[in-house]
Amino acid sequence: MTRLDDDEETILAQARSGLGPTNSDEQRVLQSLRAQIALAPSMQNGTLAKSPWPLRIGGSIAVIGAVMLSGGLGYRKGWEAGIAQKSKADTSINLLVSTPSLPVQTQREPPIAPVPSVEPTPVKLERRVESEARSASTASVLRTHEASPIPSAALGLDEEVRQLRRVERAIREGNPRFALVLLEELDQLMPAGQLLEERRAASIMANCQLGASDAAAKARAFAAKHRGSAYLTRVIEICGLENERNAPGPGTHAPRSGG
Amino acid sequence: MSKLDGLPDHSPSVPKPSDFETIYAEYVGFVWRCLRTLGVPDRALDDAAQEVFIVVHRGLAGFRGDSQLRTWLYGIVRNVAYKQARRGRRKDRAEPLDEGLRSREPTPSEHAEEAQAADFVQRFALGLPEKKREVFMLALVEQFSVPEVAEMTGTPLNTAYTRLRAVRAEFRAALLHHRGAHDSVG
Repeated sequence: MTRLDDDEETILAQARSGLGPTNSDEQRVLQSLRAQIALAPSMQNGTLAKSPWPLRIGGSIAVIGAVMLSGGLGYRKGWEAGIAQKSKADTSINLLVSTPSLPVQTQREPPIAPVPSVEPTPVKLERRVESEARSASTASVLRTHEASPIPSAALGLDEEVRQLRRVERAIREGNPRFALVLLEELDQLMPAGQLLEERRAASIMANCQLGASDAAAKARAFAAKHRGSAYLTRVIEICGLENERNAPGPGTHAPRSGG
Repeated sequence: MSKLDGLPDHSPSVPKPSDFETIYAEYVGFVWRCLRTLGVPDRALDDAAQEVFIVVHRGLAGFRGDSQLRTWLYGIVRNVAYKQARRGRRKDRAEPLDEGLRSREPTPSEHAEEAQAADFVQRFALGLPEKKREVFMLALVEQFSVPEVAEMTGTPLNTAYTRLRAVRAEFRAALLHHRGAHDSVG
């Protein structure tokens, strides 16, 4: 059999390293997995419900808060136990990440030049938690938690688009809680992005999927304010406003049909 | 076949199926490399890897037999990869900018040689027919034994050996060509 020579072995070894995930990749995927697992109560014992997750808003908001703040505080103990079992010292996954979001900038992109002149402004996480079922303790924690946004210019539109695609996918797949977590991450990292209208639409759609009581009102407000939005039809559909299309009430607009 | 530095030790310590975190730590590199080599564009790797491990998490409760873990895992990876690749092809028709096959820029923490080698190997793999690509990836990149490759891919052992011989020869030829050595060697 044709054997590999040293040269071939070397390039394969190099490729093995180059093709693998960076620590940043591992952490980013892990963070998302932890969020998804924490958001699906039935997954805790190793089984995931086949049907869409129940729309228990109060619980979901609490979980979102927990996930955002510590990657799931309740999950942390189990995670620490997991660390103890790891035999690979080079895994380098910081499992005890206390920050709610990881830098979205990956090593797949050119390195970002430092932007020392832009002073990051702490962002208070209270936008997405807009359900009436929000628990006081969670809200309090969320209001006081401070993130460190990266200047939007540094991350760039591509990254914002990439994150929004993930949000969109979560919504399409009926996983609104995960969509909200992703949106929170995006808000923290890029509070002044270029796609704020899209973020708003996605937030409303996710809240409508969750059955938040004020979501329909927010959807109406969005429809009134962004009558030309490409998201309008989906917002109307997901939020169940089709019946209002041809019967605009005071202060509301009938969305453009087929828009 | 000798194991190379940096390779996961596939055989001795298969994690307990119930330990999702250990499985993630142990196999995320394997999953990631397989996804890339099977044609998942870089921009879709996050989603694909998540999908794989969500399926793993979902299936752990009913999983039986530690020795079959990598086979089971590879089956998941393969399904997700081909699904993502199909999505990517559809998407690329609308978005001609194909980031998936664009060379990775070396980053400060990534050696340029590794990035170049990865790029070459990935391009070579993507140029192979599907079945050869699997053998190349599992036997040469991941260093599984041929019987293991045969089991993971559901291929008769002799067929796996035949494909491996062929793909080694092709890889050698491609490498010589890549380095411009074919003129002096030939």
